[in-house]
Amino acid sequence: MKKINYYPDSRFPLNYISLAFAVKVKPSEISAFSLLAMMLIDSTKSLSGEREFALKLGALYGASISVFLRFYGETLVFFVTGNYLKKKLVKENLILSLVALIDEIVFGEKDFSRHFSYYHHQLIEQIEASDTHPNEYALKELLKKISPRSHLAFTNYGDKKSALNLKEDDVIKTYRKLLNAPYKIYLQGQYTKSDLKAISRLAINRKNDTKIALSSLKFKEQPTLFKSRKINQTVLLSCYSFTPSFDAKQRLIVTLLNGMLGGLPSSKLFSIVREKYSLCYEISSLAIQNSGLLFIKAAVSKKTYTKAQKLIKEIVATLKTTITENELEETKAMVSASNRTLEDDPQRLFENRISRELNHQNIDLNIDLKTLEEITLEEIIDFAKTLKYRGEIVVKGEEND
Amino acid sequence: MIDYRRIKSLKLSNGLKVIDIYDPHSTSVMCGIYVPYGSNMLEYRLSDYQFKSGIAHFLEHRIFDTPQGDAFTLLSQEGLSSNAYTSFTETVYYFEGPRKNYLKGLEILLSFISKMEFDPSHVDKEKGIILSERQLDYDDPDHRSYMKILQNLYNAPMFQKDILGSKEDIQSVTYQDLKKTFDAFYATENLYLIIVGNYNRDDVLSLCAKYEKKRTFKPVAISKTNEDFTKVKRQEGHLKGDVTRPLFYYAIKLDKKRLEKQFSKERLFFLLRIYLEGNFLQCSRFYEAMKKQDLIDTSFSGYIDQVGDYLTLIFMVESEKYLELKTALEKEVEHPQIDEETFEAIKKGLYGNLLQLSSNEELFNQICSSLSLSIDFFQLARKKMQITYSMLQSLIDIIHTSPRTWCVTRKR
Repeated sequence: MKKINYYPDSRFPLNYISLAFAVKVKPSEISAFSLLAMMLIDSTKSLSGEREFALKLGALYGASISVFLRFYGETLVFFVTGNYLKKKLVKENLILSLVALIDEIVFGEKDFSRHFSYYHHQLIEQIEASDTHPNEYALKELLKKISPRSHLAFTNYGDKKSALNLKEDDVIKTYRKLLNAPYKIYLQGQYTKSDLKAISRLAINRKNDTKIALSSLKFKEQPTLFKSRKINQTVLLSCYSFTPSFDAKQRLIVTLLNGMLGGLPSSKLFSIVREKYSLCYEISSLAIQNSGLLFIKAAVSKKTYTKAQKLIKEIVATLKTTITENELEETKAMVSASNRTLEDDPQRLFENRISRELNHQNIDLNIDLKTLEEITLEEIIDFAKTLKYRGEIVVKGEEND
Repeated sequence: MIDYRRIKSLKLSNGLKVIDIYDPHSTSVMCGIYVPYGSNMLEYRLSDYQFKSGIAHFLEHRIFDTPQGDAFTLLSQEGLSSNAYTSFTETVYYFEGPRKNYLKGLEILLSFISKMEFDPSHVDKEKGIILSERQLDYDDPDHRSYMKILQNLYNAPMFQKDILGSKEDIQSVTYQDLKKTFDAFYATENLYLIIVGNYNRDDVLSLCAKYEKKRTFKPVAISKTNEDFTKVKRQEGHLKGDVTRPLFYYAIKLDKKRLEKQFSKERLFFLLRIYLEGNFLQCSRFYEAMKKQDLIDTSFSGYIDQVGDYLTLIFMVESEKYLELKTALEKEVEHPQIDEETFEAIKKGLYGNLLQLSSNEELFNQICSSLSLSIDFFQLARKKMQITYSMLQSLIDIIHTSPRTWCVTRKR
């Protein structure tokens, strides 16, 4: 039996299963994989359509199967994930039915012609919709300028030009590429020996080395872009870079700095820009570990955005001299607490375990907590000094409500 | 695994009601105060005073400001993450975190809820933040469509203004407005403490018992607006927004009291879920047909909206062909096509969904929903979903005569 990553956990009513395919893709291929994710279930020949699929899952006491993409650095991971109620809660043993369904969906015969034009149309509309959302629009426009080859410039749906040119053959080729990609199986819950035997039919004899590649982004300019939209709020988005790493301590340092800067309600951005100066309702920072990017995003009024812009830059520039031991200890407590509450949420816990495994992190959260305690203020300050400003965008709102 | 049958509730001598679900396997606790008033404060008055729109939400923002410091910060210093929200019918303040600090968190929570002690000069500062939040809502076409639909359907004052309030009311809020609101609605006997996870019940009850019994003014309900459940105020609405395709909302106004008389509250909620999923959503022939005709896409969805005495079925989709879809929806409401096999499959699925609830957050939210809707969701799970196909057919007979409205948002 090929290796299955099994996380025994008897605390929850649901058992979880996930197949994760790791694929290296060019930015122009993202739309094809996105289309495949949309079509995979509905194109399964043995299912007559979405209705039959929905009824089958309902009859399994509300079991679920979903298909989606995530990016880890430059690697696209294609997930087929399911969950179902454990045997002691319902009379039937649902694992065989669910595994059979997943097997059909992933490896069964396909008919991509069945709904190709419908889903192709959907994909174009998703891309256009993501262009409408001010935050996503701001992200795409900024990254197109500062690092056009980054997949983040295309979001999870890909670019419109590649999407428009997709044909049915492209989906077939993409599906074959998926089937040839290495993948892993993840389980969480309570599985018996016979359950694991049933699942092993999904594990075929192929190397399952799913290597995640960190981004190595090349930056062009340091622009300050101005765009406008017919919205009320003005969106500010600025970007900083750092060197991405799989090192556990380094990743925790990034998490802590992000928490102190804008990732938590007690952070500098929140307490100064929002609470002290009342310049916005929404302000936060987000660090994308595998890409080495840190974004600061704020929704402000068009009358005061220049003041907010200046204040944000000042906060980041002076971070190395203004963060205190108290703030560090508080942030450590929050990060540690967040890990603890994660353990009580089976869905988030499962996703976290998979993410940690793919990123070569230790699954045991207690080890992380120990490392967290050891991080010093000097290490945070040293990291803050490496942040490089890469550019920003102002999406000015033109409307008045 | 949390056993929902272990839900306990108790009313203390100070009037505070405690609802809790204990789980010895949990490593954390989620705890909150539920105040059963939100923007529906507009439907009450004091003898010489009318509450302003948005006041519930404004108070929610300010109440964290205490002489000991910002309560968010005090809680996070204990490793507890916290938040709050205001809806039409409730305001909820909560925190969650590791079990070692929950008692300290509970003490902080009870302390800032018990008295309004913020600096009056901070009221003006908050206005900028709330006006900014209001603008974000205004940029959200879904939010505006939803409010428009409710305004098309109902006369109730709470639907005529946004939960965040009008610009004028926000700008005119004073410390006295907030004090009157606090004194009127935050009486101890109004409040619920909800706690889920791994805690010591005796410690929690002992701390809650020390909470001072507060009671000052009692607001009087304004006489209820007469609602005619056989008609709507407006049959359509048109908005402009930042959309790529027309955003279409369609709603059916239901006579909640009549339906609850015929079915129990719990049965009604699940029958409506089966009605929606079996006739309109992925389990239905309607969905397949609409997809084939390119009238809907993956943005199509439907849900039950229940706010106080008002019950609405709402559908939404982004579609250029919304008028054709409207015709198709109306036809389906008149002649729904759900068969008994589909009914049984969906019913099984809903039962499974109830059994799946396990995280502290899911259970906490379920309790809040139960309070807000006065529904015991777990009752049906205990009775293994005693709902029949003939009950669904009776429900369908009532719905098909219910009045409807729609609203479309087009690109500016």
